[in-house]
Amino acid sequence: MNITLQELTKRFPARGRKAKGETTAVDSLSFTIPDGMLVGLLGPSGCGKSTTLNMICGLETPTSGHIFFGEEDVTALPPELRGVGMVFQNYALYPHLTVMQNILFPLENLKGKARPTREQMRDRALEAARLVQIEDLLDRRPKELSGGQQQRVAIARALVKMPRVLLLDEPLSNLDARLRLQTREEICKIQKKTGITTLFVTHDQEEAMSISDRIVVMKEGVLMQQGAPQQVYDDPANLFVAKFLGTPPINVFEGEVKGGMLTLAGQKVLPVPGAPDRRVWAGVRPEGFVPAADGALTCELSRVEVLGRDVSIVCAHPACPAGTLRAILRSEHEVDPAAKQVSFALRPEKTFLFDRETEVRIPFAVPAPAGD
Amino acid sequence: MQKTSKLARDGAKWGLIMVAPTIIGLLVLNIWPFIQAIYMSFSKSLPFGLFEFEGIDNYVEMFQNVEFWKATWNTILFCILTVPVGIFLALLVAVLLNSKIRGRTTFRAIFFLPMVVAPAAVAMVWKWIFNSQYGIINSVFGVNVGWLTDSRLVLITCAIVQIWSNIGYDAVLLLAGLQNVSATLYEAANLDGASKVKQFFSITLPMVSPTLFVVMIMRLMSSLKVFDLIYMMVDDANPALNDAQSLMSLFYRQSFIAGDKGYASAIVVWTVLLIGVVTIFQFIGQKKWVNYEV
Repeated sequence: MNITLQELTKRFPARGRKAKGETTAVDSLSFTIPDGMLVGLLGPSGCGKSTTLNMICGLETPTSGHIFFGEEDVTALPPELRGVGMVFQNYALYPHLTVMQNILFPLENLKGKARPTREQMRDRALEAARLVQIEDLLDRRPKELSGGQQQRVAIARALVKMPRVLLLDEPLSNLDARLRLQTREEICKIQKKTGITTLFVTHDQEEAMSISDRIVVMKEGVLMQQGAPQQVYDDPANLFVAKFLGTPPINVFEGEVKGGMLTLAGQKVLPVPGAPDRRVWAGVRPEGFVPAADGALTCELSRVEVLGRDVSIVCAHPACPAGTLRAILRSEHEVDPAAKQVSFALRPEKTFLFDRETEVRIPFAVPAPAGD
Repeated sequence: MQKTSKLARDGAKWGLIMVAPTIIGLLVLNIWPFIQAIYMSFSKSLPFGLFEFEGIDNYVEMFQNVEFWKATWNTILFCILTVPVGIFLALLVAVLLNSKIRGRTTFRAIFFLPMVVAPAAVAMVWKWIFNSQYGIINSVFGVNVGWLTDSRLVLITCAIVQIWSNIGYDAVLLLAGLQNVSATLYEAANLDGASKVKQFFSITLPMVSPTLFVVMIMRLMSSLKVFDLIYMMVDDANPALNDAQSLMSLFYRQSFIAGDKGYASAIVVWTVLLIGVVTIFQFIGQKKWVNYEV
């Protein structure tokens, strides 16, 4: 079942007694979560992603717009009738109930025909517990569990009523780094096993890229771009998306296009056929630099960091407002750490141009790679 | 044995100096008088404030006295009338004040106001309201009920005033407990389809139970020790005095009016025992219903 958001808007009254007007948390947001997919809703803090999640599960009512579960318009449906399972950021487990009672809680509230017998409830709870591997913790209380275990309980509680959609709000932010890596694989595995349509919210792009089938990038309540993670990474729609995705982040230069040539601080660095003459931001992914003795981009070398598989080169360039830029090279490339200067050629498919004012991507024709 | 370090001894010394004012106050104003009261309860009062040890005579006399048993029953009845209803109403007010209603800070202040007013003033006003001849209640409803003079009603009337006086304070305490309950628990329960009633019983009540327990202990103690309210509301000429008299009012009359401090002290010791037993039972009972998991 697809989840479709149509022109979804949420405005809140401005905070403070004297403040007038409204703040728009989500601004005519439209996207579709395809059936059975794991979709990451990604954006910096305060971009409206949690509000979007709350509107999908029904805790917030949209100011305008519609939410469809399949063909059914659920915009006005109360949360308990939507069939959503939610895992809260702080897990929201009932502290006075045992793990088993926590998992049973959603089933006990079912009414009429949907209400299973005691036996069935136990079976379903056990099944959910087994799925997240907590079947030997059923008699404990949440306080006696680690963060990771608590989260498994929360996932089991969300899954036990067989929801149509699973929503996860910052599922990994309360876990330590090692557990985070393990848990995100776990979530991915559970999602694949159950095949349940899943949306999860995060501000960590690495997290979103690594497990999502699709990502949706938001900024200040507005949809920036959506697509498969690799596709969004390779083809960012604007400067924000380019900067937001990727570790280490993209290097941004102040540049100018003149006669089909990208110029950075007077150096003609890359032919960009088809791009109009104007002032631009030029973004180069760290892996977009190729060291070359006759390279067009000459930088002042600050330091060389050996990372084993890769070498990270930190250097400075006058067109770079951030001061330093970082290039990641395969360790076969030998860079003399004592050198004062280093020259690079740029890979056109790893270089993006954005309008200086609107920050929208400017396409240019990437020449077919010459066989090297 | 390990020798205590100089630092630890210094720390202990300063600790004792810091708590000394409280300890000295407790000793002089509470503990020493209580020990004296125990001694006096086994003594006979003589003129000029002298005492003579006489054994358990005061207790024998007390347990044979009808008025004493009546006062004990009145006190217990007063607790039964005030504590459950008072706590229920306070919880109700706290839940209402915790919801998003307009002007709730104002309501909070209004409910707390009785706590600020002197109990004597409260009693005077209520006494006037309940007066059988010119009282506002009787004239509004056009009835002629002896709220304070009818032997069946007088304790109920006092209980109403007691409840009214304490609702605000208890509600503010409970409100603090309610505000510690994470909002996401209710969101989760909403998603799980729990009704408002179910949410109250399976989230609000367990989460606020530690506060509820404290309020309950405080209320039971204060109701068992009730004096000023009944003393102010029911004067000596009141025909229903015997039906309103609490243990502490009886103590007051025996001690400061009749001047029999030995006998009065026995009443005090009895009351302390009563409070102790009730409190012990509460602490035993709390294991069944108070939830300390957060």
